[in-house]
Amino acid sequence: MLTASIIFLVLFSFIDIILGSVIIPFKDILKSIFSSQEIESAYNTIIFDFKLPKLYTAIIAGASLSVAGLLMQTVFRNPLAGPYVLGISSGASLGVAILLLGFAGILPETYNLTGSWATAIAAWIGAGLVLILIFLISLRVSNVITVLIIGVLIGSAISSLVNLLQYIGSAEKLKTFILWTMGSLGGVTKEHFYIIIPAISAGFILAIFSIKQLDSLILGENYAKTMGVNLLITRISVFTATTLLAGTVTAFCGPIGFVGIIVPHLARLIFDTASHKILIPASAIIGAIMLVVSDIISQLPGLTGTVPINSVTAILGIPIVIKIILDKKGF
Amino acid sequence: MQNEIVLNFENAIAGYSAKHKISEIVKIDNISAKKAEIIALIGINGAGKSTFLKSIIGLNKFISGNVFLKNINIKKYSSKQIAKIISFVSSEIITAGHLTVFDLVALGRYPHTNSTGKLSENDIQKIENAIETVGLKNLTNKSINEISDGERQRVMIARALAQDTEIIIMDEPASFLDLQNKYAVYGIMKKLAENQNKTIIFSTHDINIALKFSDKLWIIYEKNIIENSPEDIILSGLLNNIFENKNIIFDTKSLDYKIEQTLNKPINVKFNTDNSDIKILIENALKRNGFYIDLKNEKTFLEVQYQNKKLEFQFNRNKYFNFYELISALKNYSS
Repeated sequence: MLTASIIFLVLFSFIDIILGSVIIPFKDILKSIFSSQEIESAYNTIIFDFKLPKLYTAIIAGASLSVAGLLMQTVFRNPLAGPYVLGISSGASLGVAILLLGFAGILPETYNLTGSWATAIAAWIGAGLVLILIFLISLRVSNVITVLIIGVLIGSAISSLVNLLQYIGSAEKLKTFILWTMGSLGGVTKEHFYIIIPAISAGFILAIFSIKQLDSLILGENYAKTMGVNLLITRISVFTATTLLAGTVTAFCGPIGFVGIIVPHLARLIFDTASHKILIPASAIIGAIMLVVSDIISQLPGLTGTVPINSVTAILGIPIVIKIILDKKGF
Repeated sequence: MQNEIVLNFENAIAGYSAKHKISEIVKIDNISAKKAEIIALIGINGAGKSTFLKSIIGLNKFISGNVFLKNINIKKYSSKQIAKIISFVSSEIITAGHLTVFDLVALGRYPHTNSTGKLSENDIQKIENAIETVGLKNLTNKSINEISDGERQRVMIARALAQDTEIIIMDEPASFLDLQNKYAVYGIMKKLAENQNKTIIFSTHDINIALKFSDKLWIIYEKNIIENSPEDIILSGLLNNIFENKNIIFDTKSLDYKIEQTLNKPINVKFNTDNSDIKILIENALKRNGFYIDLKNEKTFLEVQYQNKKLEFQFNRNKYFNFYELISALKNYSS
């Protein structure tokens, strides 16, 4: 099953490279990737400098957000948890907004929003703080829908704060910021991967090391405790993983919604298991597929320019979220 | 061996602290659980049954005092070590999708597997044995959402068995189950104590079941826990004191509580049958409606016939052919 998913991922990846504002014939892609002979250099540039980084970003972002969503759903025992709906992405946005707009005087005018450690760290701090806040609330409120509503409210409150901050920033920075909030896979360059890859890898490694503890949480925290699970350490490692995964993606691509909430459900449905040993890789691959497909849709031939990726994931994701709420089947 | 004490308490106080205020709920002193004993914890709502049980397994903290697990203070154990000695079954209904019976029971192996959680041959054997012990072998690969509540509770017991502990604590393990599932659960408990020397401590509201299935009762009475065998406790009359409502009295014959009713209406009954069941049923019907039998009474008179499985009552010159009609007449008569 995992192999089949990977084949799908590769298939959609090729389609993603072919399509776009410049449509590249399939044989030229193969030539470009596999042969050493010189081919038309324009294609080469487009593939290696634009299309491949964007494809990799889609794969990494889709996988990271989905695994972050899975971790949150397990720890909160809430089928509606996800980095976007519970405001984690908003928290990351706030971090970035404070950095970019609040510290406008300190940063150079040419500051590149999506390209620095400072942005990443600001996003991690913002995401981590909101995560802790939501967690404290979820300790007091057991109803999953209530936690969801509070998460959405926190998200809106943060968006308002971000709006206020926008009055402080210069017009130039404001424009960069607003483009960033729409979510984009295209802004990531090769250099950014030096930050993204270690951060995301660390997140995945933490998640993988937590597999046993995550499984024990399936029956709830009480049962986990009576089986000798150290809840504090589990929470710290899972929250750090979630912050690294969701925060990094948000820092470099802007907030991308609904992938994190629906992909874990698709993974459970397709693989029919609750075991995190399978759900983590499954969510990663399905999430990657979903974001690559979203990217394909966002640049379908016939569209002028590129549709923001966030609109595509919302249109794909919201009906599924509504179905989850109506089904109320839990996990 | 059988008299080995596995758990005992010294001046322990169970309760909870919330917002800087400590609520002491129940004092536990000088009681103990022995190997292979089944112990029923009895007490009215809010007496602290759950709080006490949760304190033993570490979901709550004892406010003070000492608890000894196999003669060593429980504070000296790590939570992982405790998990190898005590397992827990709660009363909550677990809902988790995409989880088979086997997978759920396998979670019980958590304290025994290494950090990757991989199951060894031995682990798999223990899981399968646990499922077989609760009689659900044919459901091993079923999703837990497809089985009944009673079966699911048995799966939860199997999970505790797979945890392979000497002591199993169950918080109202059968409270939401129907009669046959209740008896199935208690039957499994009995089997575990007898065949596997497990010590089982369970809380329940069902005094009748507690008296029938347990070796020892722990009764919460006036914020203390009193322990003794069911028979000693019945004899002491303690069971009549635990409810505030003095109309609830313990009936030794039925081993259950009944509600004492004021009987203020005399009735004279003439039985033209020897069938003892009919006599019991009539007494029950009369009592429920406030009548007591007075053979000297001449004002109110009931005559009962039972022949060839046909009932016939004669009351106030009218004839009735089943209890329902008779009771309606009795009610009209008294009012």
